[in-house]
Amino acid sequence: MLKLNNINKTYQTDKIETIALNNIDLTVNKGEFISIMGPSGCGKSTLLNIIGLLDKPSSGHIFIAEHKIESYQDKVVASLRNQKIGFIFQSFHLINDLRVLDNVELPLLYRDISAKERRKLALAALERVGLSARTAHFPSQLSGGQQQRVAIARAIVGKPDLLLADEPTGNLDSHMGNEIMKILESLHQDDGTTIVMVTHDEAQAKRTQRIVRVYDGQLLDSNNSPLHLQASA
Amino acid sequence: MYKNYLVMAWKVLLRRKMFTFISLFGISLTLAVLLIASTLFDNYIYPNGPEKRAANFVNISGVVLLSKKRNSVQNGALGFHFLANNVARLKTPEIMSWYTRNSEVSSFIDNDRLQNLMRRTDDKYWQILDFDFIEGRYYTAQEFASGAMVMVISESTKVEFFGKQSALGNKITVANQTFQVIGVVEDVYELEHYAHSDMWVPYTTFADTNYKQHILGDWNALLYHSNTAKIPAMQSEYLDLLASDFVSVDPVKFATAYSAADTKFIAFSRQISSDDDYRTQSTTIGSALLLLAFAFMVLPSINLININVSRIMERSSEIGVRKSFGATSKQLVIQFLMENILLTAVGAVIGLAISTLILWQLELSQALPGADFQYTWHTVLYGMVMILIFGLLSGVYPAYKMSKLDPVTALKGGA
Repeated sequence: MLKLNNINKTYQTDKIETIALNNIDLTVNKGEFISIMGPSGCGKSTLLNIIGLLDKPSSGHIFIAEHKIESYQDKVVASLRNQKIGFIFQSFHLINDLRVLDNVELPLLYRDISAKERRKLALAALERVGLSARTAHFPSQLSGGQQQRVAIARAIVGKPDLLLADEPTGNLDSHMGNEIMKILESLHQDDGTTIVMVTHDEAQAKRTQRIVRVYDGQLLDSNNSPLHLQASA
Repeated sequence: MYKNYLVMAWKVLLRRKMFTFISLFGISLTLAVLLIASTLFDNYIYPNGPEKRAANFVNISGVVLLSKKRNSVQNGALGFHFLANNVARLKTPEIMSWYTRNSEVSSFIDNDRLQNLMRRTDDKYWQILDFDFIEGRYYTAQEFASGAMVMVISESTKVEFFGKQSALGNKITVANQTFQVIGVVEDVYELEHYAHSDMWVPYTTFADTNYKQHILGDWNALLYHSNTAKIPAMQSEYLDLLASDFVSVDPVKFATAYSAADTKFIAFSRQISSDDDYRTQSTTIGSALLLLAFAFMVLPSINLININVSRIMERSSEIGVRKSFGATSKQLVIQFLMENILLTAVGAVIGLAISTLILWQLELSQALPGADFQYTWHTVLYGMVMILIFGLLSGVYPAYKMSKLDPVTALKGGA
């Protein structure tokens, strides 16, 4: 489903070169639910942005659903993001000017789908997260947990191959966080959705099938040793 | 897709009421002021009253005369001598008309003193200017030649003198002369300077012929050609004639003459700048006015650009989200431009309504008597060009800036 080959990301300022990601190799199988953990600033979000094609690696290759990413042209990556990937953000990032239903419909706007069909799919997605009674509300009229459920509905409405969640419970209390985790687990178990989740929460990470740890821009193995050093040793 | 953009734009505008109000206020007020100004201007340059053939004639209204030693300068309206000996020799015009400026005349009805404006004209005047006659006719060439004591009056003058009944055949005494009314015309808008008056009589009815000796006086001349392309030829023939073969009453005192046959636009420019020198072609003021109108529009545009750019900062998370879920930069630019065009279009409709209301009130108030403002295709065209410039000026730069926004940065809220 997802394969990263030798991914590097460096940020070049005037005099300093900062290495954000160093020789990352990662494979996520179809239907897998993995979590990425690591301290703040270790490169987790950069890694997720690169997987989500929001950021371009300095070198290395990415394969999403057997598709090798060759070009980072706006039109090409926009279409891939639209068709293959669904995002869930820590701070929900709902559009406050739009009603819940319109927020959920958003990814479908960039597909060739009739308004009627969009509505149908959006309602189904809202039903899936248990919010079909809140379609006409504005995001500001919802609780944090409800907002994140809307964001999940938006992420799954286009039936993407890969769901990327960047600390989806980070802005929620433990009760609401648990609700969100249940939805993600259900999406994984019942619908077979592939999910990559960045989290700080060890307990939540343990609920996923596999934990990938990042430290100083490198992936660690189960013994917390950098993987690529092992490979070259 | 486009319908969706429009719906989205509409929703955004409705949700952000304060922003929408401020923007609409600026746009509609600017457009209203510009539409009123351009309609007034347009009605002046392209009148719809008797001067409706303005594209086919030029007017000579004044002359600057220099003495032989060039130590004395006199200027003013034309004298009849100047017309008869110089303007009369022009070959290009198909029709030439000589007429006086308006003079105030008094008359009495039952001891009540009435003040009116009166012009003396030739018969050709009625061929160049196209008056709407409510009753009767204008004076014929024969009546003009014989000095018949006949008069054409405006509608309000008729009402003033004779009430609702027909004025034809009635007599009016002004300046110790009695005229018979042979025609009544619709009132003429004051800004149609060559046509506007209350009473018109043949200039052959002057009590004496002294006027024929003066080089300066209060005369004007209209030069007409049915082919508008001949206008420049008429103008240059006149300038050449004055430069090479000026006939003066007194070759020492008035040795050199400067004058010009002006289109309405140039006449307007001269009037605005009080330029009666005639040694220069006064087009600069006209151009300056256009520039001013443009600047007037640029200011609110810059303001709207500013609001739009800061709105992008505010909406950067939305831009990040849209990009994350598959919007291309191009789609976002279109979406943003649609919002702006919709906003400008709504502003334009309000602006049009405001200006129509104000022009209508202006007509009703009789502040400009005889005014009949119409949105001609010129005005509508000005309006559309203005809206286009406005929409583009205020929308393109912010949209471009937005399309360049990196999704990761946008999601973090930076622009």
